[in-house]
Amino acid sequence: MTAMHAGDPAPQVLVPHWLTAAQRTELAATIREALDGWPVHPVAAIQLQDVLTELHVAAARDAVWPASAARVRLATGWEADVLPVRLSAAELAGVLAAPNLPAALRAVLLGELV
Amino acid sequence: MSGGPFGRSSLGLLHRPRPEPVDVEDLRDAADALLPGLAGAALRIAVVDRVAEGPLVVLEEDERCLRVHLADLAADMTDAGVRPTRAGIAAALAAWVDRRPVTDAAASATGVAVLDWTDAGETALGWRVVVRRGDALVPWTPSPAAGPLTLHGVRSAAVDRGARLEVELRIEGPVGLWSYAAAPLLATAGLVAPERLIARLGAAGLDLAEMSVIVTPGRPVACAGAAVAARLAGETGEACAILPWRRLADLPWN
Repeated sequence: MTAMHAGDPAPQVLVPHWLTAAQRTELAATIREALDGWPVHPVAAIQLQDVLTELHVAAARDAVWPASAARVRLATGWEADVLPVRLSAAELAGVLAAPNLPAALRAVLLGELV
Repeated sequence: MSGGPFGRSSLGLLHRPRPEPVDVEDLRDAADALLPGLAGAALRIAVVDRVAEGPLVVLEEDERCLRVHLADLAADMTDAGVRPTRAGIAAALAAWVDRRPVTDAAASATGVAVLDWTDAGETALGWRVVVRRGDALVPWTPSPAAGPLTLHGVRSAAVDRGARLEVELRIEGPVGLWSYAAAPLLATAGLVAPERLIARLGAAGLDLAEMSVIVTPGRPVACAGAAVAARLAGETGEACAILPWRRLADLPWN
């Protein structure tokens, strides 16, 4: 039912970034502002749109299978609104290249702050 | 499908590393007090005393008959972590009666079609008719006497009920999430009529003419385009199936 054809490209590796609800809202606003306010290369624009998609998908994933993120939150002591936002290396690079990305959010995405 | 034979009255062994035993005499008292009130027009319940074998609980309903030694039932309740109080035993007994086998007539009258795993390994999905009793959804297994006409009639009626069930919709960006809080497995009932789901999604502003569905029985059903569906399910370690909506009608009946 989830079979992959031999000719399909290898699935990209998505790395989880654990973000609070406020950080997810801020990230979405940052991306929308970047798309609206700056000239963005079409490929980068697609990647930023994919990050917006992922922000919704992260919430949907948690609605369908809440247990795995809940286990991590239990182990780390994180608040209930912290969810894994899974980004490819290219998507992360696209976000980090946004000129309006707040420094604190950049640090969180780079794993420098939690 | 219904969380064990005693439902929510079972605490499970994780919570009770050394469960206190459910006493057979206490269970007998609970059965004498409770069972007459649970019997119905078609359902007959009795505790039959057999000198040699000990008392038996006998449930008879149409073509179905269930006979269980009271001592075995008490042992099962102990193993399931049922609290050995009057209220705990009574709740477990009522939940157990709710989970009795579904008769062909009950399936025909009230069955709903849902998707469930067809195997213990949770690798393949199939349609199943379930009957809701209390907080339990009990699967129907056709009786040996049920011929092709009965099977077709029960399944058709169950599909109609599934299509009419008002599952709850939440839109999360490009994803539609269907759920049914009171009995989570019923979230899949809407998949009997995927065109209806597509229309409801469209009315909510989400155009998914070629939607894929992501199904983990007992969890909300997610609908999205193929790429988003792959992204949603791709990183999960949970058992799930992704399939285009047109393949739903091809899934086998259990």
